[in-house]
Amino acid sequence: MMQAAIRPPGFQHWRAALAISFRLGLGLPLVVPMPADAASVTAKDAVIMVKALGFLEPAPTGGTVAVLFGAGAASKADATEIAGLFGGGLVSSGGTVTAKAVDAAGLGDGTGYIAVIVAEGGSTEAAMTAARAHKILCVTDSLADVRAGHCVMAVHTEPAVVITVNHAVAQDVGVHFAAALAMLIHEI
Amino acid sequence: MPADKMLRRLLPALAGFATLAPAALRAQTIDYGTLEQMYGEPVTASATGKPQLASAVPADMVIITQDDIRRSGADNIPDILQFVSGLDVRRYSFGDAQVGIRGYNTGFNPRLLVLVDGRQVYLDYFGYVSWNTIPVQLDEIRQIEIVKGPASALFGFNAASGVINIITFDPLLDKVNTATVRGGTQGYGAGDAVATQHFGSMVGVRISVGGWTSTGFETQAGGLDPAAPRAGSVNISARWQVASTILLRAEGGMVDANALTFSPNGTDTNVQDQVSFWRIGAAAETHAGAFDLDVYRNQSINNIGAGGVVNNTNDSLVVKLSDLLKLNTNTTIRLGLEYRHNGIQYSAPYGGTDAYDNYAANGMWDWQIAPAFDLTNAVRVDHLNLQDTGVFVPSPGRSRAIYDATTLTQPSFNSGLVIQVSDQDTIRITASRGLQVPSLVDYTLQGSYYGAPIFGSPSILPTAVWNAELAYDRKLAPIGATLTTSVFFQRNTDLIGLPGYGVPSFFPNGSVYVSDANIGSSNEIGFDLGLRGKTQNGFRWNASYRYASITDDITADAAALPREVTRYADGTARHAVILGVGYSIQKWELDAQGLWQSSYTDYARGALGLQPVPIGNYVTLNARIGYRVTDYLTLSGTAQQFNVSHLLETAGDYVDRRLFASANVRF
Repeated sequence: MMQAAIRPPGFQHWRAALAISFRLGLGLPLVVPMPADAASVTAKDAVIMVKALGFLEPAPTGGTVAVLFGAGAASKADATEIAGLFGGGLVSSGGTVTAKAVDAAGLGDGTGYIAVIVAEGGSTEAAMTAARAHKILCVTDSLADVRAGHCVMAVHTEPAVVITVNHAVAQDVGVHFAAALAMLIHEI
Repeated sequence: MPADKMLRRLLPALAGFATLAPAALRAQTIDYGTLEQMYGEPVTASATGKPQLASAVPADMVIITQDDIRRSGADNIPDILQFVSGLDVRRYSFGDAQVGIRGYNTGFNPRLLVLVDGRQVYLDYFGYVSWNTIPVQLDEIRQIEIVKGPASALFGFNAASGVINIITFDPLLDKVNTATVRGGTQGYGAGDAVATQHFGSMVGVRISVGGWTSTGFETQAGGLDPAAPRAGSVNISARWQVASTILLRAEGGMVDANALTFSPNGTDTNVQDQVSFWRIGAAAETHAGAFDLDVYRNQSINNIGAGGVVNNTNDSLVVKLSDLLKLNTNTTIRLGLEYRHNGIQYSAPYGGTDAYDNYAANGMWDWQIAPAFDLTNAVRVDHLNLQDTGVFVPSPGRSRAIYDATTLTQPSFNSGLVIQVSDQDTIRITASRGLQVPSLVDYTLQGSYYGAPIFGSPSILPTAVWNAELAYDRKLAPIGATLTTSVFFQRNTDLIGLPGYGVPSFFPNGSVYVSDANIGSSNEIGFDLGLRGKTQNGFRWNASYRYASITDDITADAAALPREVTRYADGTARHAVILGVGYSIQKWELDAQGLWQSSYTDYARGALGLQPVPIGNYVTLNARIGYRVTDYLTLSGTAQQFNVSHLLETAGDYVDRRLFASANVRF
């Protein structure tokens, strides 16, 4: 399982930050507490993925995201944890988005899902099969997979938010982003 | 071409435009709120015309958010801008403030372009901004985007020293329902309300109304402001997602404002403006790009003083069409066409209409050379035709035939290279040429002042503003702060003299008259240093220092009336320091800002012409305390310039200490 992507700003310099805060007379810490989240996709990643869905053309009016896991308990645990980040649903401009951890068999050809998130150990091949069948987004935390054309979009939020899209794969799958987001994403 | 004829041609084109977009795509305005939530910083299109993260724009830009606006405690935009490094805000009276970017500020400052959601709101006839005539309430502003340095290649006229683009909340995407009342010293009372109504998910309408009145500050002559400053405005803005492919926009508003205003000739003058506008637009996303059509008409009736020489009605029609297209993974272009008809109808005894038609084409090319290197180039060419009708007073170099034959073709450009050296470090290298095109008054004024005839001139040239800049930003994660630095060199050629007070000339009979003219050139070098930080526990702070040094080369023959030419070298404060702190705890917000500015020379009219007025260095301190009584009600108190009761910031009137309380309801 991958470690959490979130690194609090200046975590390694917390002593200096604390000293400065005291110098300013506050005595209050300046650092962000380390989240307990340890899924390959963080809560912040999940929120951004869902918001990105609202910029698809056409944008889904809510629905369920499949979180695909592979063989092994660790992969399933990762998927379950990611699905848990969605709680009762995250809000995109199109509607409320929930998530469900599924294996390749459960995903099938993607019917009933508005996107596929590939958990640690999940099959990008199965995810892309579903993505192509229903013109839905394949999302991963692995930039290498996106570069290799094994998935459409990667989201990273630390140290800065970067949404990377493989343009050719997106074309192949048939997903398009509205210009407002298309101008901000990093296309390769 | 007359405005109504242009409009009749335009409407069929608008209908045709709506059929461009294939049904599979979706037209959107920029969803600023969602994008800011995603990226954790404001998004802007004011630098290049394409949506970009604020940290990635190829320009020296500052974005003031709605939170910043609220915490400033200010009740008007210039008072918010006063604490932005690099901006020079001069409050001439309670109801009149002029905002300059990087110096060169004057009464009726003609070098600044101010927009509301892309619509110009400066008054065309003088090319200046009367901030009271902007029909927008502070509560409906999402963010104020400030571009320092020329940006004419994207925005055209008046973006000579910079651009301030006021972005309001989207009637379709944002729901703002709020009301505020204020009351305080100087007999000040104000109220405004903003209401948004969504009709299904496809139509959104926002209405805002507001107004204020005051007895004003004490004048230099003693007593209160005789203008009894006041303003009232109403604005309605609508969005209609006609189909998944097409978004239509409509907007209209009007303002009636009155204020003692410091005019370019160095006198306090009562100015009453009645401003109205309408605007329609459409956006569509197609495989050929994101098209945007924008049409608006601004009208202002301007009464300047009793029997003033430039009482007039000013009418502007602007039609813009643009296409933003991402050609491939690393190349984006934006192509645009713009038509502007700008006319001024003078009051008796001159009457008649003077006008120009301006045609412009612009292009922007953004090339992501490598992940860390982004190069943006924008060019624009303006072609202007001048026309003159009505009562004409001939003088040497001026005839109706000369006016009607006058044309102007000028290029402008912006280039910027942004280098993301690391996750923490960004370098920007920019170069640009902007334009300050002569105003209609510069071109066509006819009148007299202090017994001497004054004339505009058809031969006056636009001021060209050349700018080169190097900037470096660094995120200082250990202290939760960002360091911003920039150093720039600016050269202004063909400076335009004060309207009607440029260069003394002589009729054949030897009597003197004054004509608008180009008066020389000027250079500026300066730098900005800024630090801004905040902590997770509610503490925020900012500190900045700005340096500007100007040298003039005034070449106009001003021997007869040597004091009729403003000198910029001493007319800009060389140093300015801004410090701010704020703290939020539970239901309380506490904020304070301070500005120290070095001395400079302003100008006021005396018996012999413009007289220099030394303005000493000064410190002004503002503070606000806010308390959230409930989720719906917030009470706050603001103290402006609480450190001193009277302050002379300009050659206009004293700025008095202001205290006022506000109650804000959100529902």
